[in-house]
Amino acid sequence: MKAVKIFLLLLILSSCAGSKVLPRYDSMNYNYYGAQIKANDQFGNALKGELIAANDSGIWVLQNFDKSQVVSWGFRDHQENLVKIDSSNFYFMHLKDLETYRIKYARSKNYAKMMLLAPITFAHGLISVISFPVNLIVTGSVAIAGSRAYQYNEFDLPKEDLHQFARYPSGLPEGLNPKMLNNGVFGSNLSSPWQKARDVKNQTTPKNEGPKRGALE
Amino acid sequence: MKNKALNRWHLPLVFALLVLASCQHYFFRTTYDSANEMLNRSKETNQIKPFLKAHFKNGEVVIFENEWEMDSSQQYITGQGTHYDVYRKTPTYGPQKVRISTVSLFETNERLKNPEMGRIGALTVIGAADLAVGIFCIINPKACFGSCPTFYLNPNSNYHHSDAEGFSSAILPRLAYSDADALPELPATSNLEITMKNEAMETHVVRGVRLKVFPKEDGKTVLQSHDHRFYSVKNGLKPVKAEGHEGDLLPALLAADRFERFSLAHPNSMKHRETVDLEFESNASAPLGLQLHFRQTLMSTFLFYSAMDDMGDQFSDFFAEMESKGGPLLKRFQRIQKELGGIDVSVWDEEMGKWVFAGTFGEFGPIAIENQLLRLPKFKAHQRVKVRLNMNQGLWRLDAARLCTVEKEVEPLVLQPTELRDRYSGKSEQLPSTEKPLVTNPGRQVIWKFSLPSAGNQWVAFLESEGYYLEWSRSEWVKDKNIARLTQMGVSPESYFRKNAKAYKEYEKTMEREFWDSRYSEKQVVYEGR
Repeated sequence: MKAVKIFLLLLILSSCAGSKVLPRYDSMNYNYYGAQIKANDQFGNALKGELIAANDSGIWVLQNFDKSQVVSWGFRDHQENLVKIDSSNFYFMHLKDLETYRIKYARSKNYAKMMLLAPITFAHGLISVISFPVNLIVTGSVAIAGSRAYQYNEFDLPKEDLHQFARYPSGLPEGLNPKMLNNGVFGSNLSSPWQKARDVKNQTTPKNEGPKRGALE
Repeated sequence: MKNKALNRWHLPLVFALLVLASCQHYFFRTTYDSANEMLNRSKETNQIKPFLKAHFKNGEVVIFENEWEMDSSQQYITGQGTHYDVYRKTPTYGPQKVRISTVSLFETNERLKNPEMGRIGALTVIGAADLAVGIFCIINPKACFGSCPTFYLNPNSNYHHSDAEGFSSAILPRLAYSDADALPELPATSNLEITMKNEAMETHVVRGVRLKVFPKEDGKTVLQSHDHRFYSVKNGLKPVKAEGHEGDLLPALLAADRFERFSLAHPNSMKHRETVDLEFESNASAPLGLQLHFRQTLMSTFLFYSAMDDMGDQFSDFFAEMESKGGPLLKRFQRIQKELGGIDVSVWDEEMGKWVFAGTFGEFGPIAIENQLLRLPKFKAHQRVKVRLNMNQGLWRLDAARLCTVEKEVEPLVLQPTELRDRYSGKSEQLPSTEKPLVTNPGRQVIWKFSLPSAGNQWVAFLESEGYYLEWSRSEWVKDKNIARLTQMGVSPESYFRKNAKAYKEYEKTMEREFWDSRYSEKQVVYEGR
């Protein structure tokens, strides 16, 4: 029974991996959106969405409209401590109220399915006494590590550095219309021009030409 | 079974999770409020992260490819990239020229070095290991799926903690025999239940199971001798010295704690003798006996299965012939076992100045630990009794040794079971006999109930089982038929042992060390790592 419980626990833990609104780790340097944030304030409010901006006073978050991303992240009590801007999905949370948070800046891989291979070890007969828990440990560890990759929390990333992962790291632009903000899904709708652009580049820019990588004069 | 295994893995599990969970990549991103700062800091560190984003005050951004350059005199950054408006809706790709003064923040990033590599590597390794063990188990099912009926006082124990093992070498009806194993201390109840499991790909035919019990006496115990008699013994002395070719073995042989001494097979031949010398603080004035806790390694299992593997699709023909005719074929089959031999015991006679042969321990089976007595002949020893064990290298595992004073031969009280029932259905069954034996197939578990004259902990008990088992043929064996090798095994075992030493060493490496050692994660097992 204990094996089954651990198996289920790991499976559940791992199932939260693989947010599709984020770029893959190898494309994140081209991402034009902010990182995903889960933020909780001291009153029990919770926000989940794209980090639009952050400064000394607080954070601006565009709540995800993708329902699969907001499970259990609805508002609870004390909503008055959050500022809803222009009846959109755009919210402000005071930095002094911000208690815990988690930033995810790239899409993690979901390795949870690999855990389903653990029961195959019963084909090992008596050795499965060893190989089953070993498989659970390895696949479970990989699944959890995979789901927790590309993340920072309040211990890794201080509040004052949150802006580095915002869409607008230098602060909320003046005159920004929140209703015009869209929940970005890197690599889908808005990445199409990017892909097109890359195609154009591949056609027009000869290889081994152009300025030196990261060169500074 | 699972609980104990998992308990053992709790600590490493938590550790592994913590280690893996903490593997994150930091410092791949840096932001600069000005181009000068970026320039100066990158000069200080002598490197710059190659991917540049220029964030404008109005919220727009230009993301450069990793090819860009800064013209500090003209105050421009140029390069190939994409410009996005504040809402990220109209990207423009192409050569970009950004005036530095319009940029409110520079962000540089470096490419993460495939962070998935470690995770994929771990999964690949475990997948390969699973596959290897799976193939091994197909080829050597006995090593993976156990053998012979196993008996348990605790029904939830697994084969690692089997209390007794029945008729391990009775592979045919004509080889049926009865086999008694010492049980550990019985629970303090007169109604004793013993669970018998079929954990192998075999059909077990059990003609009878009975308890042989002796009343406990202070300072004394009862041991079964290698020739299946029972003796009352006392004064069990621990060895003061134990040496093998690897050095001091004393810690392993002091107590029957499953902290065992074993050696690995000789690399040139599976048949190679080794000695272990024991010394006890005693003289030889009283009748003495050597008590030994021991069992076999998986070498005999390997040989048994290799033989059946070589029989290929004639497996059933060979077994039918051995059963119906016996004779030379059966003798050849049994010769292997005799070639490797048991544990020969000799004592040092100080007056004669030579080793005197005392007898041989020999019991087939790698699962349950035997606890047997070998009576020593009369010999002269003044201060110390010296005992030499001579055995095939890599075939035996020794758990503990004692020098006992043998009092007398004793007769057991034989108790027949009062009830037999299926463990899962609870349904009662008829007690077996030679004519109507109990037949069990893989996975079957039955419970034998005994009624003791008084509380179980007042008795020294032995479990005797009688019967035989039939090995199930595997389709894999058909593919590896090798009658020539099978013949060599029976006709020229010396040559067989030499030629197959390498194959066995491979088997031993994967099985003996990992399979058995893993049982005693909290204890160190002595072995010779040749």
